[in-house]
Amino acid sequence: MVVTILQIWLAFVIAVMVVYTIRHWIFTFSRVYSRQRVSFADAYDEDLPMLSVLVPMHNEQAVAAQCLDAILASDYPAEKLEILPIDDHSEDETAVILARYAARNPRVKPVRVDQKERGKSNALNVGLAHAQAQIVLVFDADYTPGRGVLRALAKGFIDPEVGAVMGRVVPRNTSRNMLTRLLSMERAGGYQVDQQARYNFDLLPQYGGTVGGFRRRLLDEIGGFDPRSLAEDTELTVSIFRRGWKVVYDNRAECYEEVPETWPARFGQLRRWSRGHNAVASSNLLGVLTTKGLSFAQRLDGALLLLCYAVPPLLLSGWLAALLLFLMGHMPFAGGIALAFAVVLYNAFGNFAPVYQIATAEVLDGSTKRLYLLPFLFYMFPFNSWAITTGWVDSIGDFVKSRRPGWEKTKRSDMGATKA
Amino acid sequence: MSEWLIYLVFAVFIVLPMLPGLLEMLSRKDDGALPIDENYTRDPRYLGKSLREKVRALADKAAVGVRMQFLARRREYARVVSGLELPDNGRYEDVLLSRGAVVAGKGVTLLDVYAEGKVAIGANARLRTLAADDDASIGGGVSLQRWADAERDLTVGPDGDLGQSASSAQRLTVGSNVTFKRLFGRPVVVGASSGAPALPPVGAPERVAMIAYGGRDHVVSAHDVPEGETLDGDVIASGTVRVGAKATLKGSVKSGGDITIGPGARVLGNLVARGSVLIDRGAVVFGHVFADERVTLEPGAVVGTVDLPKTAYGGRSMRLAVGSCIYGWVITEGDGETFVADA
Repeated sequence: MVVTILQIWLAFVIAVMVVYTIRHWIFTFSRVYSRQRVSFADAYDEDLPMLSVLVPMHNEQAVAAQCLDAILASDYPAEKLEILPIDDHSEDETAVILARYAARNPRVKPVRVDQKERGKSNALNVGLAHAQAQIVLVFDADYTPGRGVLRALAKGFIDPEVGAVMGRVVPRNTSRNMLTRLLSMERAGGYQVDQQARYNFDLLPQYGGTVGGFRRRLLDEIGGFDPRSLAEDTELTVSIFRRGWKVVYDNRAECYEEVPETWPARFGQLRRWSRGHNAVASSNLLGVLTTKGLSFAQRLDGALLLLCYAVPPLLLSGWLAALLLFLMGHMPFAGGIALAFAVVLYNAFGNFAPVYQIATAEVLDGSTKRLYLLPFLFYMFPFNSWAITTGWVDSIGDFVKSRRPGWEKTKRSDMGATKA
Repeated sequence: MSEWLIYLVFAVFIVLPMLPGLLEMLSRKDDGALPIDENYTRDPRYLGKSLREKVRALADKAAVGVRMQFLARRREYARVVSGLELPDNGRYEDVLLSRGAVVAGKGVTLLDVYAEGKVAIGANARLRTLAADDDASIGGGVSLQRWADAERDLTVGPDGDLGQSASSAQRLTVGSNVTFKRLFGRPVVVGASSGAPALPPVGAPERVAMIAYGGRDHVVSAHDVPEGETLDGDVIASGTVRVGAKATLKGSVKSGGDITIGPGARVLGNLVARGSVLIDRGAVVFGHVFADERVTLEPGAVVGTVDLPKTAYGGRSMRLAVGSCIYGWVITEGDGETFVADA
């Protein structure tokens, strides 16, 4: 009985991995061989809409000035732009920096979060209450949008069906160490190939919450961001599609960010993403699968997107099942060949399916020497799996105990510990 | 012994794929951030402006008549002249900065030309690039390898190929049966040599701007706007959308299929189609036009306004009839052509 259950479970895990593998392949082939769908950034327009730019900040003295300088240097018409840096309980010099910018430039209108609650979702709600425009862009404080990025993102809303727009994130501190170099490769695969392919196929490109924007009306419809959410971006993405809106991905609206430079910081970031993402998945999976107006492919992609942070724990359980079967003297399925097949599936396709995307992305970006580092991602995989699984366990704990997760900010490289 | 051999082979298999990566970690040949030009802003006339800048920088160092190296890797040379007159079938193989006018006969071959004065090039010319600070005209049958740009009016005769781009800060007039990728002008007029079509005074600019980025304020489920009627709101449909003759839509259209704008109709917002867009005779679209497939403008069709230039984008192709007019940018990733419509 136990053996049968383990075998069925192993077969299920393999089936899931095969589905994700095929998805990665299709995305990669689309990015390389098919016609790429363009965003609306090419549009020439001198009549742009009013924009509110929100920048949530918690202890951001190291990066606040460079972020505001970058936004102020934008080529967006000054009279149509307001910048709302949101000081979320900062204990450093962030408030002083914001006050200095506000005194010099009337377009900068700092907002302070007064209530006890903190975290990005809550800060965005506070910022939204002060925002004047119908189109709202959001940047994290470590981001430095180039001169044309605001204009490019705003033009995504030319399409009346578009609820949100997302640009491409590019790590700035790539050269620091092995981790930052590997993270830059992961980011390249995720945006250059995965997001663009999902946009090509009219699936569910994700609003990432850091280089993007949305219609204010949409947030009014859903009652703002859930202050308890650690993944407000995923939550908004799902809401957008369930309400029949679309997300535009602009691969050329590139913006530098800072990636974690230490393994503990990266572990914490992944764990938080996993915790928040899995919470959104548990409350929206059924809804996405049953939303009218979405095609089968869109529903499937939505489900696979929501479940992506549940895959590592699933895979670990598959490995455990295979190990137990081996120790119990039961080769899975039809014997050694099937086991070898399963191992190949795990290692060549399951673990490494994203690697094809990453390699393709690096080639498209012209970073060919970086490809030599590709095998090192093999060692990144167990680390990622463990961090994500830890977050998954956290999310189950949150659900069972009705616990409210605390916000833990990713540490900036030039700062001390900034844990809330 | 054999056990150790197996361990050794295993270790080699584990380490071997990492060797190029380890060498890259040590030598750090590709460890920088992906280069982003943070000063980049989209400009339809970027190519023309860029060449002017480069040639001016070079010309500032040279006197008239001096020949100097332009791009070393291509062994190209540049020459500053006070003006140029080139006879029929003449050739000029240097990059040229003319302080005055450039007049060239039929069948000439030119490389890169930057003229601070007027430019007049005869029929069947071959040239790589052209930048003019004044009016410029190119005769029919031109073969433009890259692009042409003028600070004032640019006129191109029929039956030519405009390469990657033709742009003008003012009016760009393109003859019939011309192929292109990108056109920019305020306006771009097809076929006519003078006088842009007059626009009907519909909607204040503020109203158009609000509609163009408004989103689904009032989503109208009807897929067709009946002839002569006025509809206020966006139309979002999975299939084909038709705006009837002389109808007015105060909103944008998003279609999973095709969009047809009937003769004399007016759309105050944008048209976005996964299929094709046809703008029929005399119809006016005040917003942008984006189609994954083909965009066709029939005679008298207008996109954009003098005050609010917009964009017409056709993913696979763009067909502009003689008599049509776009204020702003025309783009296609595929094939663009001007044509003479049936009467």
